[in-house]
Amino acid sequence: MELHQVRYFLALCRTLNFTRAAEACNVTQPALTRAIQRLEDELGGPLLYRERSLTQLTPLGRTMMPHLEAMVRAAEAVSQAAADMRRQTPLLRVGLADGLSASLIAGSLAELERRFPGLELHLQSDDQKTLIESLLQGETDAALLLDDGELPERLDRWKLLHEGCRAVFRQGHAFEHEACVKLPALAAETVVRGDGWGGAWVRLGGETHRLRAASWDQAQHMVAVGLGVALLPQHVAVLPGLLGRPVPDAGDMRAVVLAAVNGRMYSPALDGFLKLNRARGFTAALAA
Amino acid sequence: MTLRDKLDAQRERSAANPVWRATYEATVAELRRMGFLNQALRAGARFPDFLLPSAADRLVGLSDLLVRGPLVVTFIRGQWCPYCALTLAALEESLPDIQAADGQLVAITPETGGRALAVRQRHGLHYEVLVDVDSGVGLNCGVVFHVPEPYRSSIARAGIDLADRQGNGGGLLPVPAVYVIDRSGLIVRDFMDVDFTRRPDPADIVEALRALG
Repeated sequence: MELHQVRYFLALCRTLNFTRAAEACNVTQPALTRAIQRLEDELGGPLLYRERSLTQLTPLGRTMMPHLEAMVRAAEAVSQAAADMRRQTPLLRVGLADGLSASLIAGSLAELERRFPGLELHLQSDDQKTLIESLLQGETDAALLLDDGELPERLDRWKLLHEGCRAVFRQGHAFEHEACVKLPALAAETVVRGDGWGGAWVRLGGETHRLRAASWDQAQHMVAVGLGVALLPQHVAVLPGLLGRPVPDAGDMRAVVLAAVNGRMYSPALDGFLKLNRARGFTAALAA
Repeated sequence: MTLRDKLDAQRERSAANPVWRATYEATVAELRRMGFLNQALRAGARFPDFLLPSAADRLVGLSDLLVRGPLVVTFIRGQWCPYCALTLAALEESLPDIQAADGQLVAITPETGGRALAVRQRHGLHYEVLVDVDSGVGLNCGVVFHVPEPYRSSIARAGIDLADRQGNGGGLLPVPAVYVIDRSGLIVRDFMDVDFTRRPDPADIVEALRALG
């Protein structure tokens, strides 16, 4: 597959007109048509319905479009970066959904600072809904969100990690001597429950709604004064004086995804940020 | 045992399965029919600039590498490919010779999610593995292709989910091309075969570096 073939196809997706696409790409229409035919040959079927008055994407064309668009963006990222660096101070605005720690992306931020000296870096924390709105409005460039199955179509998202569950308790608790905590052992405990904790709580068959916290921090403070045991996602930092042990039977507590708005041009810093975090293995890094 | 012997032995083992054999032959024939190699970057062209994340969580640019000397770039298909594994290990063995010829070596994989690091650790590699996220460098080099049927289904049946591994649902793989690039960024030698079971002998790569003086 060749870069120019894919560029021509994307121009056709925008214009849905062979003449206008050829003009936009600065080639003759026969050259554009030939390139599209070769791409169709490789992809194993027509990408467009060619009718006299109407050019439309086929299902294959629609399926391939976003993937090819991502490839062209990646292919052009470096030349784009050079142009952007001359034009403006690099700016990167990253959002973290409530409860997600910046420790997840801290390493990538340090690398961006090294790579793009003078980078203006804004971190924000907000509830998921507000962050999604901010992404769509172009006020946030990328965000770490929880995959709740309700992310809008317009967001590209890449799975970063599935986080298991960890029981957090005070020093001196019997769990201290265990490598991990089994579900039946938790049934005998007073468990601090958090809002929106999802599946893990249901799997516990939790009936104790007596102790509820609205944040991981609140839950840990309740544990610290001896009110009970809290269940936290694996990577949430444990407060001093508390200990944590994994609860493997509880399954995944949440899935964290990296999200950016599709179809938008990436700044060099955003491109670097997304690539660094997509390339990394979060699950392995957390286990280490 | 040379790399070629090992690749031949691996191919023979795989080809004992008639379904694999038929799929493999059809795939290579299809890539030949499409005239794949006519569209790829070859010796004499300039290698496209890039900025890619490494297994060590750094962003590495072509120019960062070239200031240190000529460069060997090897495209690999992924952690799951036994021919890539044999090649990576053979290149590791040749790394002292590559370095003695003032050269450096990087592998480029389309696989995300920590697989570059896993490959590096598994084979104890002392050279960098870069992640070509969304196959942008592969596209610039003209070495990526849409995996044709029935190979696509055969990979999927083996439990290899390319979309999940690459974080891109395009269903693409690179031809495992190897480029030798001089300090000015010019490709001085290319090795490519649409047959993914055939890879260059590391000695020939070292020879190409030595010829640069």
